[in-house]
Amino acid sequence: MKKENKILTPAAERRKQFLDAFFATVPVRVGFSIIAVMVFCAVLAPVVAPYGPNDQDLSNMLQKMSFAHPFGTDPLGRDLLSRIIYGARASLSVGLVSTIIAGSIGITLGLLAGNMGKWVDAVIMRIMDAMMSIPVVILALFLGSILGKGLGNIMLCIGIVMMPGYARMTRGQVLTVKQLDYVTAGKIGGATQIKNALKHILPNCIAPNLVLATMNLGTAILTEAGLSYLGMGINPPTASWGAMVSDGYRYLSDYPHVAIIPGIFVILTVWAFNVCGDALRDATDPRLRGTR
Amino acid sequence: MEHLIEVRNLHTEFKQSKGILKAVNGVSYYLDPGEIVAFVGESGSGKSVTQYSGVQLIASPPGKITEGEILFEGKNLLSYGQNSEELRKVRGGKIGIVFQEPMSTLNPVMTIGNQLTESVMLHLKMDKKQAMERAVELLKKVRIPDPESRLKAYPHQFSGGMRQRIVIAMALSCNPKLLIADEATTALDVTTQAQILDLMQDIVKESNTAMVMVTHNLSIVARYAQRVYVMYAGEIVEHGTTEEIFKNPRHPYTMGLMNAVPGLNDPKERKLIPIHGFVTNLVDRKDECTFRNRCPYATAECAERATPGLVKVPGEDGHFAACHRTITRDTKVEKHFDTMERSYTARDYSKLTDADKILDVQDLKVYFPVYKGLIRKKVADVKAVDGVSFEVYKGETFGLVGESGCGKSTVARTVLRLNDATGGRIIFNGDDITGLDDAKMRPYRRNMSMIFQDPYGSLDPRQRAGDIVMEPMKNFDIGLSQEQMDKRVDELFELVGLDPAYRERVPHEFSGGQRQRLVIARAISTNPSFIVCDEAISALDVSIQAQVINLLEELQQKLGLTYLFIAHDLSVVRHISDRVAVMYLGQMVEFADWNSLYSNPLHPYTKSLLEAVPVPDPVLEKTRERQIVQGEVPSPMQRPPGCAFSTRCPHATEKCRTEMPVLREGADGHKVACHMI
Repeated sequence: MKKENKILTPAAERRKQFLDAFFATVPVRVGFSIIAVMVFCAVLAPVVAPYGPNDQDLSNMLQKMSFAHPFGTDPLGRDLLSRIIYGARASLSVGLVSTIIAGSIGITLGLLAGNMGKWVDAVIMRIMDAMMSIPVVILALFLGSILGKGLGNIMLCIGIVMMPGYARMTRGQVLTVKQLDYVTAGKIGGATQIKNALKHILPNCIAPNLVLATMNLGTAILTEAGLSYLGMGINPPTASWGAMVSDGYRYLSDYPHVAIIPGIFVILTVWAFNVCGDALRDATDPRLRGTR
Repeated sequence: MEHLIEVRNLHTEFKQSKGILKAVNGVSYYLDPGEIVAFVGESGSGKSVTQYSGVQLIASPPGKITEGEILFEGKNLLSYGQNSEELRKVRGGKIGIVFQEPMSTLNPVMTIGNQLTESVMLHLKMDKKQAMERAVELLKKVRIPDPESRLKAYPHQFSGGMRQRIVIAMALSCNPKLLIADEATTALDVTTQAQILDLMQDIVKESNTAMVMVTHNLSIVARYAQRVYVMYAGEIVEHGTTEEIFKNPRHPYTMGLMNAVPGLNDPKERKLIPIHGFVTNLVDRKDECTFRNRCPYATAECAERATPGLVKVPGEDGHFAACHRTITRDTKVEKHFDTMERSYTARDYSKLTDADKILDVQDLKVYFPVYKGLIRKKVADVKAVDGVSFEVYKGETFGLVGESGCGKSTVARTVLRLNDATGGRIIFNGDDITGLDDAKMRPYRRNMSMIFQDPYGSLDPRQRAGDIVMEPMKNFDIGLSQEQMDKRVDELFELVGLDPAYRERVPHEFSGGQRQRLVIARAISTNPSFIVCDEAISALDVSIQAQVINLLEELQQKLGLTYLFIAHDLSVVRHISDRVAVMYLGQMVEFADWNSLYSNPLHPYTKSLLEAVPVPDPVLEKTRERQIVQGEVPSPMQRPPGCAFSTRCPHATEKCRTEMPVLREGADGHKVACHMI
């Protein structure tokens, strides 16, 4: 190791500490690279993809893997690699945006409910309970029929459906953390209720939500597929991984690669986000930092 | 002669990312039947790991017993596999273990009857009926009233002391030859602790069982143990009979431990002498005396020599010490880490006026409502604090003692307005703050502060040390610029004995004692005049306890602070307080200056509390007459109609049981609430 001669400012020191902790293990580096490559390809899809996503070539349908078509082609002769690259746009943005929507609204509601208590708590949590009692797809269909089709609406719709989980989780955490001595110490030290909630309670409630978010990411991608299948989601022929899996399953016995390859990408994404989510949780928790 | 258990040259290591931690480094000891032997040391000294190595309860990996022999009834336990049939027969069958935390030792979803019969059926091959009989017999043995019907109860239906009795009953269930009590009474109140320890002593005597007592409390050792092993950094540094060790300690660490704890009979001028510094990092330990860096007797020569082994102390039978030098109490100290003197001047309370009061609590009542049923109807009140009055004068330390559940913490929290008072008045610096809302209360908060029990829980794990100390200054906007606040944080760090370079660290990078210093720095950052210390030292090791007590006293002198000092450790309260109040079940039963309270306790409860506290002097303990008060604190839901203590009081009469005594003032302001005085 090279000897560090530079004296870092506290902020730079913290950043370095955080990055060191985040990238401490090999899986995280691999996972992070996967996400980076996927995002890069999705953004630059027209440049990176060898074919157009909807270029049909009916003479070359259901091809096996080859140099011309690294992942083969689908029943309409479209290049699977190109569709996966374009599909990453829809799938990654649905996964990320809907998780962010669900997380931010859910955590805010949970924080409110846990901190305010009384009727605020009762009203918020009963609404969340009501939402949780309806099956995910049915609720999503209902919301989708109100909001209408389209990528933006499907993100919002999946986000709202997943929100109660975050609200419940956060509220439970708030109720525990609120009792801890350092929150009392904050009050004695002159912090107002809002400041205490934002500075001491919220940061200590985030960790389980991060885990939930990484798990939800995959669910969101697959829910989008389900909704698309039911005609609620993205219109064909726009590519999305979920839609590719659900379209491909009909050919599973004879041409398994048509469904399996997009499936592998979903799994890979979920795994990568999981690993990064765990690492993020550990790196932001001073107690866990450096334990691995 | 063959010993019941003999451990020879035991080594236990833990593999860590940074290297190998030798937690137990060549420990040898033995026990004979019927003996009570104590293992003393602070946390991290390896006393528990040594015991768990003996029964192979070390998590492996990362733990590993690398060397040594454990001969139990002549057989080497280490020759058995960790999960082998033979070892399981010994563990739980012939060796019983009592852990510290009774609530986590018992399975909360199983009745205690089932838990007791489980191991009996397994080890003694009894059928269900016989096992039940055995369980009843065991509960009788540990003196649980009405054992037949209690078998169907779940652990949460018992009090802490009762639970620990059940754990003991479980440990005894298969007639063990050896009982290991790992800090078995640390979590209990003094009177319960005395009851439990007496019980264990009786059982050991009756059944000729050997007992290992793992503890950090020297006073318990003095009273109950016949022999003592003092452990430090994974090694036994001194070994001998209890009398010899206390009369003539030969290892600097043993002496350090003794000097760090206050006793009930110490002169008030005695200053506690903490053990300086920290335990050396035991990862990749070197072959040298590990206590050298903290030792006041260390010379240059000590640094050059290898780890000292246990050497027999000349002229004393069975007394060994591991020190390069021959140290006695009279040996001249090589270097002083701290000043040794402390002055104490009693103040004249009769001359003080209302203007000298910082806090005046009048007839304080705190009730917590109990709701039941579907419509959440209020059915009763838990009277946590019921009519408590006292005043605290500027610059004094007001001690508040009592067992858990007596309401002392509720008083503290209510005084700071963290709870609402149901009745009474709280007057702070002449202003009535009883009914103020959060916004109106804030200006007063600047002048009051709190130090918590748990130095781990009272610091936000995500905040940097510097921010923690700066936060109250920012919140109260005390009129300092950012630069001035930065400077003040550095000053505060130095004031409490922390290196300002640690500002960027987060709490978990500090040791327990350092964290408590950080809590203190935060508490004094806005220059408050009044600080509540709620069990501020109970979670700390003895040597660190002494450091923190000294720091609190030093700060009081420098800054003129007033403390409301809450603790259950009567010796510490005696050491630090000017005046002391004793609480029982939400009421104040006795109140006096420290001297009259401790030398002339009037209330039977105060007397029994003081009798229950063991003294770190085995000779004195032998001659001391004491009567352990029986029973337990009743639930505040079922408060006796008369005097709250009447259910346990040896002198209670009919009047006591029906009529509540009031706090009356006697000579020198000594107040007591008892019909019999």
